[in-house]
Amino acid sequence: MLKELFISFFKIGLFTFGGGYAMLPLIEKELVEKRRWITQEELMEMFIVSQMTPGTIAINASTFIGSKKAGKLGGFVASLGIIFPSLIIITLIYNFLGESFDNPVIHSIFLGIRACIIGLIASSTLKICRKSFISGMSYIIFIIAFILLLIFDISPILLILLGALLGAVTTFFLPSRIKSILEVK
Amino acid sequence: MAYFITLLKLFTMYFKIGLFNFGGGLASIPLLQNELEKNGFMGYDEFFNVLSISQMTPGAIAMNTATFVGNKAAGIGGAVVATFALALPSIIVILILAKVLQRLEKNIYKRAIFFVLKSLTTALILYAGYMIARATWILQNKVEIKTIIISILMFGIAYKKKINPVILIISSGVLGYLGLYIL
Repeated sequence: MLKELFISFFKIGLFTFGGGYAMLPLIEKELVEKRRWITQEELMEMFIVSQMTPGTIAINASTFIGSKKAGKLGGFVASLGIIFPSLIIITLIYNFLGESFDNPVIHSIFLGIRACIIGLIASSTLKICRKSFISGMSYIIFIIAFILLLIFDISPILLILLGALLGAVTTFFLPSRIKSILEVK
Repeated sequence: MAYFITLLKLFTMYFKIGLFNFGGGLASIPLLQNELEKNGFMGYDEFFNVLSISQMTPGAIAMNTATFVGNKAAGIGGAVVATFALALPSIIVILILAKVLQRLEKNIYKRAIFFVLKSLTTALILYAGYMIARATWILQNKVEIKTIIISILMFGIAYKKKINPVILIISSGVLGYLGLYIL
């Protein structure tokens, strides 16, 4: 189990370009569809927790899944798996290429990869909306949040704090309404 | 001795960054840059170079810069220390939190809060895509139609077919090389 955890996360780390959020499609494929270690629902929960807590999303997410699968040691091993590719690749680059990396060939390859990541992220977002949004309210909150980010440049931390507050306050004042939304599923 | 002091400094600095870095990736840059300058590891211009390498190579951005800075300050030992120091706070916090959340499984407040946060997280994921798009579809103030075509193509394949994203990432690298360098 530990070996499988390490290999899976090593693979995910190796192909995560452009930050933690870009891991989502890879985790979906490797851990939800192929290995069936977690459900789509758990994947979302894991991303939510990874965002609220300090640290890079990639390491948070790995620790979370690893610990769910194989306890504390599993969490540790999964994080090692995700860290290793960075450690190896960057160390090689530093020692062989130095600090200037202005190679037009690498640049063009990287642009292609980034363009792909955009498509993957868009596809994942659409899949999440269709699979795990349980009420119309989910869509309304999603759209408002996206507008706040896009136009008002709200900080992600503030957004999450406001969201948590909204959830808590509505539960306090309208518990039956909240229950009816949550029971739909 | 000086070597160990450098390692200790690297460890302390990256542990701190790991602990106070909320929201992931690009959100941590101001803190990172400030700490690097304060500790005399790297100036602004150099940091900018390292940042662009970190974005180009696989792995989380903060992790990549840690490996880079560590290498520069104290060789491979420094790289290992910096990278692990960055990861350590995450590992500790998440391990504790995973236990707490398991206990709250049925709690109505937890469920309501997560209901809202699910939508917010989805919006943040899409926003991350938008931020990458801004730096990929528009290059030097000009719309780069070729990258837009790759994005749309890969979106269509990823959404319709159950294909491994790794294959799409590799093919897009090839497409980028053919379309943007050869042509």
